[in-house]
Amino acid sequence: MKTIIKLLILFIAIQGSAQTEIPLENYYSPENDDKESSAYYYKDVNGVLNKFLGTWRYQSNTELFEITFTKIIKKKTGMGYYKDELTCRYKYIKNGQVIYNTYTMNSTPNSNPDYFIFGKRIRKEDLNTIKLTYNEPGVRGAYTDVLVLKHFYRTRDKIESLDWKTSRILRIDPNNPGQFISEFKIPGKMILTKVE
Amino acid sequence: MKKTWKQNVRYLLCVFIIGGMITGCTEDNDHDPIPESGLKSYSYHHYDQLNKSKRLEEQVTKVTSQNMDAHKSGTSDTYIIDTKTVQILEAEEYTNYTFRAIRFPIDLKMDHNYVLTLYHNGDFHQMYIDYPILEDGNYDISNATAMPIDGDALVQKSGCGSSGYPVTNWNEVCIDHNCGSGQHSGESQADSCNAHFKPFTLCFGGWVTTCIGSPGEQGQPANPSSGGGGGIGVTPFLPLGVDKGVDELMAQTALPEVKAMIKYLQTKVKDSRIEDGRMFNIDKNSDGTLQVVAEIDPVEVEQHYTKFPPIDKNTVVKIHMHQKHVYTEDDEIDTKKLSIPLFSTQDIASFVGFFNTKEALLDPNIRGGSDASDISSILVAEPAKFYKDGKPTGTETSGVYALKISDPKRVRELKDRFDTDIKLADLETEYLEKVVKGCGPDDTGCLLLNQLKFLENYDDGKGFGIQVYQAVEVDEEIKSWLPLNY
Repeated sequence: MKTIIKLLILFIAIQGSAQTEIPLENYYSPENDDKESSAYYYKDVNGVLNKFLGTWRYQSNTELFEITFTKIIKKKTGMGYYKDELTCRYKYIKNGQVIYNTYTMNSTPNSNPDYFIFGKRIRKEDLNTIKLTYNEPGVRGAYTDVLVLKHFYRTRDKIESLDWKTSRILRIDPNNPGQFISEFKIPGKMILTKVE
Repeated sequence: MKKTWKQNVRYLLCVFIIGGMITGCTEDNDHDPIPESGLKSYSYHHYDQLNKSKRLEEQVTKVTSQNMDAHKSGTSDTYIIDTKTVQILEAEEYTNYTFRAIRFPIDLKMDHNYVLTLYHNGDFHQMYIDYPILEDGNYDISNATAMPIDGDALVQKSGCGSSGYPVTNWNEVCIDHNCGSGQHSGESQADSCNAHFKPFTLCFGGWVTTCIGSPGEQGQPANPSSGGGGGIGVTPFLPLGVDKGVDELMAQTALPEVKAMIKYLQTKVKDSRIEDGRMFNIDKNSDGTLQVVAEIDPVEVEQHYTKFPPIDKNTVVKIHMHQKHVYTEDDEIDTKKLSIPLFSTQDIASFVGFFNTKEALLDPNIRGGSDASDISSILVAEPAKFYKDGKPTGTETSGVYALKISDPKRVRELKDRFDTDIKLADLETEYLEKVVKGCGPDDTGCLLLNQLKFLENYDDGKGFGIQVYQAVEVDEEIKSWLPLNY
């Protein structure tokens, strides 16, 4: 009898604290409009982030850009809900000079390499496109822009590729106040191919 | 022990004096009904602090949960009831509980109330009332309409027609606010007369002749005709005079320097390529009036930020502009992107910082010295457009918004929440994810509503302790400020 009661209490406790898992790509569905408390977890149950994971490269005559995307599991948000999302580390070399290498960067209170490019804005209507928060080391913190990544297979050789596009807001050129420049150094538009 | 005659006299005197005091208090608290109206008094209260009857609590819980569900399912013409504050109107035969309501799609020329009437005989009645807002900012009582609704569901009551019922203007009926004389005592009176709930006499409102509806329904009054007006007496829920934030904003934006800056930014908002703004240090004179003592320009402005120098202990108002367009690298051809006319995460986070920094600057030992909650952050942007079914409704906001502190305790709790770039980046990412949820690309009204949801629902519903207001402008003059709630 005692065992039954214990099991019953355990069952009720589990039920009481149960968290509803919602497929990540359904975050924008109208039925989930206000499901943003800690009772909800936007989980990548269908692996929609997987196609972006791994290391990708862009190379030109003068530039090399390499980036490795990984998945953060069950990150708690300020709103309350939990989510899976992408993060990454990258290096950018131009004319033989290392401009950035966040693979080797350590986290400081005001800078963490995992927070330069991250996010989860993916919709079930287009599972090949994801929008991420975008920033680069040394750029005014939190004045971020948006990176749009589109996954596709190159027509000629079927190699897995990413169409990389940032929508970058310009700022006043400190050397020429009448002009606007981008404070980011990494190219705004690239096609990256899968390395591993 | 026998009492002496002196003791008896003293005793009787005490009884008379105390009795007289009680009688006096009773007269004060229990107002005589206004002749021929049946109305006695009205007051505003924080709903969560109210001593609620079981019926009131049940019915309000019922309606607030149901209308939220209706809104989620995308039902058109949905009402959201704001239960933060309630207006209580006492009449001889009933008590009205009136809440401000927001109706979707939003029409800024119309204000909405949800009125729950609890009759002393146990019956009850519910209705929505739509009050048109006149050009001068006043309510057009004569053209208001009342829509009776079902007891358990927030749907129109059957058998009562589809176009609602007119509201008949009171004409020369005035009701005193409960604490109008300022002479009442007792905890309940003191509570209703705090700074948020200033006393005043109300001289406008109307009568609603209610509908009985289809036969056999429960809980509806058989034939309400309380008072001389021939129906339920109602008066609009007023944000002005009952909302500390509205009063402060009205006083601050009436200052010539502040007013001029808002006007200047409104002329710049369409064509400017960068933000702009100004910070105001304001002193309060001994008579309570305000005076600008310093105007401070930003130290840096960019396409998407305005940086002000550190605040002073008398910094009260910050104004900045979000210009209509921002230019991106894609502008090589001809594109310029529409700027989102909302407070940014930096604006929200810096307002939290503004309050906490100012509070630290003030001397808590000086009376009123630790009160930093009068600060305002005003945003001038393009008017937000509202859409319905993918089409513009023609409804626009004024484009002038303000942030005010609604819960200082909560803002103090958030003091260290956004103090690093990483935390800000997280906040920004979440905000951007939330704000675009379910919105079309040009539906800035939808973005505005999501902003409100974000501010109110943040941190498992604890919110930011910040209230958004929108300026109501008539002939390019700010006539009032409306608290915006989701």
